[in-house]
Parts: sequence; C-alpha cells; structure tokens
Amino acid sequence: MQDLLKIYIVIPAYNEARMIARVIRDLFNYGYNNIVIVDDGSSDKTSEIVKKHSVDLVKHPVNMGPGAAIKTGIDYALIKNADIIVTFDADGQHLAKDISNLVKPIIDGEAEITLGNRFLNKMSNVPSFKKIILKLGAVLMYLMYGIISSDTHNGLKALSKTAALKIEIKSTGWEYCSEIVEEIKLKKIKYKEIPVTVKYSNYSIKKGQKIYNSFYIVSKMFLKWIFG
Amino acid sequence: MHPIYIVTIILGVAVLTNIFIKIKDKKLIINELIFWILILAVLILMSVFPGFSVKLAHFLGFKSGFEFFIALSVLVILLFLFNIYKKIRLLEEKLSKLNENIAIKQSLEDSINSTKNNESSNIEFHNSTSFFKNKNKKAD
Repeated sequence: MQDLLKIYIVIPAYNEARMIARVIRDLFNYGYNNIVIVDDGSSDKTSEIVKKHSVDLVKHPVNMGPGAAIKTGIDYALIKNADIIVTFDADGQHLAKDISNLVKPIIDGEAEITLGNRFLNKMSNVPSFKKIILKLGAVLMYLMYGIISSDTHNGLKALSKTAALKIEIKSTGWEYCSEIVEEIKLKKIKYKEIPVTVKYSNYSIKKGQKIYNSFYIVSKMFLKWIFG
Repeated sequence: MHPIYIVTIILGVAVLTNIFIKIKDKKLIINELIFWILILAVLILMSVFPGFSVKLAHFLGFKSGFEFFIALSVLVILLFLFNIYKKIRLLEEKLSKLNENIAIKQSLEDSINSTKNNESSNIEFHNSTSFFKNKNKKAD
C-alpha cells in the first residue's frame, strides 16, 4: 500500500552542507524518492550539494526559520499532489527506517497526523538537559492546549493530505511545532504518537535548538497565546 | 519647588527640543506631533500646577502626580509594544508568504526548464498559481 501512495519527505535545511547528502542517501536506501529539500537561505553549499541528487530543491531567498521552511515544503508537496507528507530533520538525527511506522496509522485510517515521540522507546540518547527542557515544554503544552504528549518538539511528523490542508502554520521559527499541536487541538484532527529514535551527535547538538532558545520559544508562544 | 518637578520640567524641555529637531528634519508626521504635544502639555501642567496633579493623583489612588504620570506612561508604552508586536507579526507573515511564493515558483520554473517532457511541470506550475490564490483568499 505504501508503494501506491505518493509519500513526500520534506526536509528544512539551513547550512547543512556537511550532513544533507548523508540524509538523502539514507532516505533513498529505504525507497523514499519523493524528497523536497527546502534550503532556508543557507550561506554554505547546501543547495549545490542538493542539486547533485535527484530530489526537489526549493530555495528561500532569505532565511526565515524552520517554521517557514516546513510550511513551504508542505505547500510544495501539496502542489505535487502528495498523499502523505513526512517532515524530517536535515541534521541526521532522524532515521529513515522510522518513516514506515509513522505513515502506517495514516494509511490504515487510524490518524490524520502522526507525531514522532523519542520518549516512547529507550533507543534515543537524549542529553539530560534536553530531556528536562522537552518535558517542561510538554507540561506547558498540556496547560495551554490540553494535549498530552511528552515530545511535542520533535521534527519527525507525518501528515495526511487532508490534515496538511487543514493545518495553518504562521510561526516562522521553532515554535511551529507548538503551533501544529495547537492546530490539532483547535481543528480536532485525529493524531497518534509513534515511537521514533533520535540520534544525538556532537554535530546535531551543535546545530539543534539551544537552551536559551527554548525561553525565546516559550515567550513567543505566550505572546501568541495572549495576543493571538 | 520639589526636585521632582524640576526633573519634570527638564523632561518637558527635552521633549520640546526633540519635537523641534524632528519638525526641522521633516521626520514627524501629524499624529506623532499631536501625541508629543499632548505629552508635553501634561508634563507642563503637572509641573506648573503641582497642586492639581496631586489632587488628581490622590483621587485616582496615587501618592503623587509624578507617580500617576509614570503609571500612565507605562500603560502607553505597553499599548505601543502591543501595536508593534502585532505589526511585526503581520510583516513576518507577509514576508514568509512572499518568500514561499518566490521559492516555489522558482523551483517549478527550474524543473520546467530542465525537463524535456515538461507537460507535468507546466501543470504543476499552473496548480501552484491557483494553490496560492486559494490560500490567500482563505487568509483574507
């Protein structure tokens, strides 16, 4: 069934020249050929490297942030008539083998969106400080939107075409993950959490969200929550 | 005269100087001019007639006229902040949409130019135009 559906993998990338080729190869090895790389105004050779592979490249003229890149990727995949859209990180943290588990509930009609959760199995080597921040974020998500999830800020997600058309991402930064949770709640979209593995390396820790950035995300979320 | 009123007068003179400089440089629009003149009028009234401002402040539950002025200023600043936040958010959304439209159209154009059999790419390009039109309508 998975072979009959058009599954598009959307990868937002900003200065990922070191890792992007490896991520593309991993996806190709698992048979995912519809790949959209959204280069979010990188200043390194990300685009040049992507062009060497048979994938779709969408290049933002200016850097806007991961939220804007994800939105562009989802819209591009919808124009290309994707049935299922999977969002995937460009820093090598996610594993292509997890995608089949992620899209299965959507194919079976159990959910419209599946959210990858790194705490549902014991395979991820999440650093302690990151664990605390993510858990605090989950509590905040519950208090603000009433959604119980221990890992709302995981970039590995799958959306059915109908869910992708319903969800409106307005945030340009990392807070887009919280916005998706908010949209799930507001638009009563059926969702399911799927255990996934997140591999932390020195590179991904360096590239990923910083602790001080989480305070910035929380303040932006609060402002949006208060002022709309 | 209480030192606090001297500070108020100094502040008033600073605001007045700022207004004159901006008028000279033609940088002040009429709304801003009215706003600053109102601020200046309040400052002058408070320092020239401290008794009145003190009475007004006491009536509103403040200890002094200056304290009342500071509280009022904080409120005005918060309103400005809210306004600026809204404007920035709106601009960010518009910029993001523009960025997306340019990026997607460019990518589809590139795929039309690079493929020999470009029928499907042409269809996708037209799809994108209607896709964005529908999205913009929905957003409006």
